[in-house]
Amino acid sequence: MARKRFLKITLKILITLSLICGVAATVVIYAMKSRDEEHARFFNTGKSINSFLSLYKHGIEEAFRKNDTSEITSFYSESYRSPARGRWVMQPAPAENDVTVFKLVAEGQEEYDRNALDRELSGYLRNIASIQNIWCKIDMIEKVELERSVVVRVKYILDGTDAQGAIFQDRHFYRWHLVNEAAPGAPFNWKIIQDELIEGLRVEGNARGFIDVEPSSVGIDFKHSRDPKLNAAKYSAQMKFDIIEHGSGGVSVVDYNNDDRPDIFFPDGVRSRLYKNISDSRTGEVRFLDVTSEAGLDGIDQANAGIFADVDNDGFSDLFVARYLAPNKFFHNNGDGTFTDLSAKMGLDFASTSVTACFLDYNHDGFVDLYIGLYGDAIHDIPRLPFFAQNAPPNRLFRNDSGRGFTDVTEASGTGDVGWTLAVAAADYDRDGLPDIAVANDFGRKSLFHNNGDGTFTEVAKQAGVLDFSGGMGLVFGDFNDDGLPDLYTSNINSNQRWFGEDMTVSQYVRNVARTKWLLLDAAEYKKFYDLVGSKWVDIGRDIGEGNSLFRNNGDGTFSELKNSHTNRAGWSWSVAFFDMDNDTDLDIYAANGWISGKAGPSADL
Amino acid sequence: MGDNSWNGYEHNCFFANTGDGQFMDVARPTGSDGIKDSRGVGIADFNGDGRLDMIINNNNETPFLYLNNLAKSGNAIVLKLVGTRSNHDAIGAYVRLTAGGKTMTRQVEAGSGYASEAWLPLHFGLGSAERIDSIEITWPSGLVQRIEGAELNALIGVNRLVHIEEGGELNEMATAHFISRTSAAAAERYSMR
Repeated sequence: MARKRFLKITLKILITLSLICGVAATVVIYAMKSRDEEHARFFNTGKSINSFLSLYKHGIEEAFRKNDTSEITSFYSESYRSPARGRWVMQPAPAENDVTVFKLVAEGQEEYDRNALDRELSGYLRNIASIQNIWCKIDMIEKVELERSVVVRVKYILDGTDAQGAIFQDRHFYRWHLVNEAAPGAPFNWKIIQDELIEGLRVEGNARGFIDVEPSSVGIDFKHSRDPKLNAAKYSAQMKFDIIEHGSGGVSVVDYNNDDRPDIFFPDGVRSRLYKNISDSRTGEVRFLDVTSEAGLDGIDQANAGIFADVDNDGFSDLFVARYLAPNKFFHNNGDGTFTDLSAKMGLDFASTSVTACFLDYNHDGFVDLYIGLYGDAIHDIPRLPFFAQNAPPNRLFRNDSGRGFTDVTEASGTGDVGWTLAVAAADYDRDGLPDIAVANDFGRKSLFHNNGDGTFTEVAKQAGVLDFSGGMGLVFGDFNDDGLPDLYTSNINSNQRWFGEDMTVSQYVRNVARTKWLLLDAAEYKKFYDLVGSKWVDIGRDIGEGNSLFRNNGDGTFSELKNSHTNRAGWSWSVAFFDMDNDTDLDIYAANGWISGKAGPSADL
Repeated sequence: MGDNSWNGYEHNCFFANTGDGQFMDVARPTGSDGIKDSRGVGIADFNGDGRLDMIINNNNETPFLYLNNLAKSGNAIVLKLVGTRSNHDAIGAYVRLTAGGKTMTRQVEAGSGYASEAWLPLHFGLGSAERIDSIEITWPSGLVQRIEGAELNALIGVNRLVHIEEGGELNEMATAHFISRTSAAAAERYSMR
């Protein structure tokens, strides 16, 4: 608490002083210098715990392989003792569709020592026939006594099969009390001294609910390519923020030929493709045909999103292609299976940093308008500030003039969000009959543009309670609770590096920034940020890594986040979708995850 | 799995709605937990069996095509809305559908998630309901169109894809039956990963 107060005061001071006089700020910086070392120790402590968890994961694998629980119990202190821990047992819970569910619960109040633990682990491993994957990660560091002891919330996931051949996944959250049993000065030697079950689940099935079809066997011979012009190895000298090439890869479903069979468009870094659905309507056998060339859509590179809508109301879906650092494209659907490039004629051929778009008829004139999301310019810029980046080119709203062309109404409409936008969506969240716009910004916040009905929008994310600071990657509206109101699900980063976003890191960040010219250059941005979140800013570091957010629409223009809905720890999330997967009437949620496999992060192995 | 990773090798998640604002990740036991660097997700009923499938683009990789084969699946109806006064795709239309004593709502959206777009026709799972009690469409033009009564069931029924034209008569609807579920997505027909 004292630290939080310290941080709050520090930031206030920094903002005030830097605005008045840069020189005075150095006084504050000098006062903070002693805390640098403390932060370095925090960082090393966190890092060593990540290593510990990684070893623990291997311990489980070894114990299973050798049928020897000592490979796990060695991670527990000789003096391990968990009073009133109780036995952890799997209890049958109501099945969900084809999935059998067990809840892991602590039964009784039995005190556990290493022997009791050993018996329990043996029982757990006996149950397992094979292990495919284990993840053991920091979910949150709850308490730190630097280099001595830590209370950490651990996320444990095990993919395996059981003796009956069922495919299962264990998802457990533990609270571990760790102590460093190394002699002073020696390398860390963490041991679990006490453990506690927060919650646990086993879901089990035959993994045949969805058939993982080899796409090329049904005509989809597509493999995503990144935009070679964003290849850092080749162009790094020119790029300030080279990681962006890994972000690309939208996909769209459209019935471009009006045969009621959904077709697929892949925007791509090298060659975007359109696949026509030629599935057999009698047998239901799935089949696609690459019609890119015959449709006249060859040669679309540097594309991140292709969004379809019938722009001129001729009955056929037209195509807008959002291209990053390249001119956008618009293709008119001729209705005979071909498209014509009308980018320039329609006024959409401007080159910028477009990554996504959505169609909406904001002015209800019977013609769909276009809202385009723009990321930052990775060649010339980095996100500033990293948690509230407002230095991307503004998103653009284009009014559709009766299908004849588009007019940029960004400024007049007030929808020019300057965050590093990755996702946009439109829905009438307040049911006033007019579509509103939601925006997810990387390194920032969500925006919610309320449609005023007179051609203008008002940004209301703060009032609506959906600022949702994080690395925003996606968002989607859907009425998951059937109350008639569109709810909102956002995808963010739930990072293994989340522990890094704790107070101590935030304050170190402030100190580091204070030493550079950036504090002065960005003083106005800091002030905007402070105006937006006020004294809550200290908690933002923690929120940023928490993951996806499910917001229930309250019906009065506000939303409430359902933090305990078990929808937030998805991973490094990208697209998200609401749909009823099992036709049981309610909407389920799919979340696509994963940042960069096969490439070490900035703090490798965290 | 490789050793190098920056939040790589992550599962995709499938959060099943279990009611009361609670969800449960069933991706692995349903076989939809692909581990690639997934980006866009497209949703549609590709094989016309009334169950929604997924196409997922993966960065620098081949995509996932997940055909829905869930055994315990209810009835469904898919509504393709055709605007006349409103924009032709009816983007922004809001539909309330009542069946089996429950009212569900969906909106037509073009572009959402991350750089993705779902199939525009609105899909409603119906559970065990075998008839629809009412459909109320609020078109972007402001027109509120209500379809109900015996006529509705005589003409629409369930497990079909239905076209509804703005302000149109019921007999203007073209309907198509979903193909039989048992023969639809038999796993054996496909090369699986």
